[in-house]
Amino acid sequence: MIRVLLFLGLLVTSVYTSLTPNTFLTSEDKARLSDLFKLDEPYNDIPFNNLYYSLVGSTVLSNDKLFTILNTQQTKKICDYIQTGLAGTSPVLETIYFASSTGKLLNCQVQANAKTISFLENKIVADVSVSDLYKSALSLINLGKPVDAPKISKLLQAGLKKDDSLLNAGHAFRLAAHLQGAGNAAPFYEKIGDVVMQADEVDGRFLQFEGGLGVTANIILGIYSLASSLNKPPGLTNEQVIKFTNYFLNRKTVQTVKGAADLLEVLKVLSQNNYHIPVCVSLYGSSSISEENPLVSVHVTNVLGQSLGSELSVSSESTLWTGKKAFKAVQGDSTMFAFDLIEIKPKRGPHSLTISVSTSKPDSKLIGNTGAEIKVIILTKVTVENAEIGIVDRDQTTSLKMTALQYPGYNKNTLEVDQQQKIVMKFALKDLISGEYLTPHQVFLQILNDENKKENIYVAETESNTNLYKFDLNMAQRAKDFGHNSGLYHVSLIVGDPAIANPFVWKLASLKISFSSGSTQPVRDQAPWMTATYKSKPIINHIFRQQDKRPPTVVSDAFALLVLVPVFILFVLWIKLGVNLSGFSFGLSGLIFHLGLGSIFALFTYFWLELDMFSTIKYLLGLGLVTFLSGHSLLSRLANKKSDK
Amino acid sequence: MTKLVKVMSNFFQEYKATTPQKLKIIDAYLFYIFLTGVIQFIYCLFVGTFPFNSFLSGFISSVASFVLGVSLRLQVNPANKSEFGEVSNERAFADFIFAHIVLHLVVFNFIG
Repeated sequence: MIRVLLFLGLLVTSVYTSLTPNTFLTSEDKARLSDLFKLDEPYNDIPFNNLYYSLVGSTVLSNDKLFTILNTQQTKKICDYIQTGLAGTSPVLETIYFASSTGKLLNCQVQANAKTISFLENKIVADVSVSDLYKSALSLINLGKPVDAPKISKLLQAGLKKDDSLLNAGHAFRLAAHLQGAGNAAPFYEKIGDVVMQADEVDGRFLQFEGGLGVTANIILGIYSLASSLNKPPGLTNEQVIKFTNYFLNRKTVQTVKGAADLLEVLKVLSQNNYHIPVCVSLYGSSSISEENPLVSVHVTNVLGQSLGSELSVSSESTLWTGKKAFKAVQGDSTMFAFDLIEIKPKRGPHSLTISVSTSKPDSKLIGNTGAEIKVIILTKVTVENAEIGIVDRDQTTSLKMTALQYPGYNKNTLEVDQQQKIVMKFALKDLISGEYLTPHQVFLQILNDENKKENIYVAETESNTNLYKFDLNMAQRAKDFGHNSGLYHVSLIVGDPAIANPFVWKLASLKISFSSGSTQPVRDQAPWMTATYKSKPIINHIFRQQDKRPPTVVSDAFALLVLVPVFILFVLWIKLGVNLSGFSFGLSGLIFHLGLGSIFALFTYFWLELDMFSTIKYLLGLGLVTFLSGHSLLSRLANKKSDK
Repeated sequence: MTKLVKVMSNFFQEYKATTPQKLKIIDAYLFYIFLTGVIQFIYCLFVGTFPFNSFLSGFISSVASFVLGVSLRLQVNPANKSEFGEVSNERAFADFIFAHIVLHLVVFNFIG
């Protein structure tokens, strides 16, 4: 299913997109990457893997001339540091691998101690993982020790059978390239096709392996080194190589030292091998072509931005002309080719050029050398012709009297217009290069109030079936736009288009407009939302709660007394009813009970004035207990007395 | 009108003659509570409710006292003996006192 989709995607995209890489590793990219690889002394602080990747990257960037970056003394310091890594008492495979690889890269005369060697040899046993086998075998090779190639080949195949991940496949290819004897490396060469099948295609333009730049670079590097050690073609089609190249160039903004080193290593292989050299065609400079900038310039390079040789010929096809037109080589730069496009008087607008690169004697190594597409925009200049403006009565009873205008001049006579009239303007826009009339994307008339700078903009449209513009403004209908503001206005013509080199605003005349009816509206802000959004908000003042209105003290005091009056009434009524205290017992419990009740209410008063609820309840429990006990004995005595009677 | 006066006076005579002394005392107390509540309500109507919580606690105190008084009267009334037979007058009074203590704790808390 996925393959069908990929195939369909390929069909669709191949119709309109060229595969040829349209970028390469520019000098800015190289400068950025070399910053990434900069090594600062003391070297002893740098982990061995970073040291190795930095030096690999620097080697590619310096064209295998590391001595231009490191002087003899610095090299010696690094070699000394590597020696410490190889002669450690407790060997670590990772450290030994990177240290020995760096040593080989710098040609250090380092010696590993016997413990390290036996540590490495003991790793090469049955059931070893591909990654460990790769590191230990390569470390031994780096250190100039003999390895048992048939044994490693067998272990490697067994390891791949157990875990055939893409990372392992890449490691296997790279290690197999170092194995002496064709029989030991051949089984891995046969696997190349199966592994490449697993690559994912993106946008019909990129091929990559799951796992990203590191995995993809590892596999491609392995394939090429394996193929070159066996002296066979790598088994990749041209299209696959170009898609992998596009992927690598797309990742040239990589930020890690390892990623950058992987990228440079693989790009170096793609620029120096016997089978596939992808050609990169990229536009140099602006894509806007005009009379001032008539040349289309292209860079034709390999992926590292280097020249592909001096005998290149570059030609292009386009819908603008028939056949092929040749680019001229630019003197002093063997990667640059230029072509004067304006010479052939092309039609304005966006165009694409299809570039082909060929050598004087056919070179099958160059791939992606045909069908490269670059896009240019051809700019033209525009001028205004037959421009005239006039005022006419709305009912058209008077004949049109038009004033001719000369671009880019300014009409000194102020036109006068009132609400019963119309403004009429006619003009044509002409392409100065081809001489034909054109209709740009943007043609507007701006009418600007001289005083309050309020502008009204109207779209100018062509008369039907012609390329001539006619603009017509009925003042009675448009009075609202102007807010019924009479006064002096300026008329400007605004013309713009991506294919026009000289877009302009032509202030052409002034206009005195008088509105007879309708109320004059005050000019609003040009952007009311702006003031609403950015004006400072009103200050929020805190307002304390207003005191409630209190009654006069006389009234409240009077009512306070009035509330006490019923107490007297109560006593009067009780006395009238003949209440007496004859039943009052002056026993201890009676006394305590009444005292308790009294003190409870005294406590409540105190609670009202000062105490909080918790302390009140605390006291209340004590008082309540005493009152309850005494009350209980008192009342039960009373009850007994009654029942005795 | 005269009939009404007559009915009222008859009613009052009856009350004076048949109601036990104890109940009359409670009735006087209830009348006192009622008057107090009315005066507070008049204050609220004509002067204003500020401070509202004080008014509420005073008024609630009156209403609740009145209700407690009526409850006491019901339990003490010999006519209701069938209903509150096992509740002695003293027990009723003790409940009345206890309810008042709880009520006025709340009232004083709320008075502000």
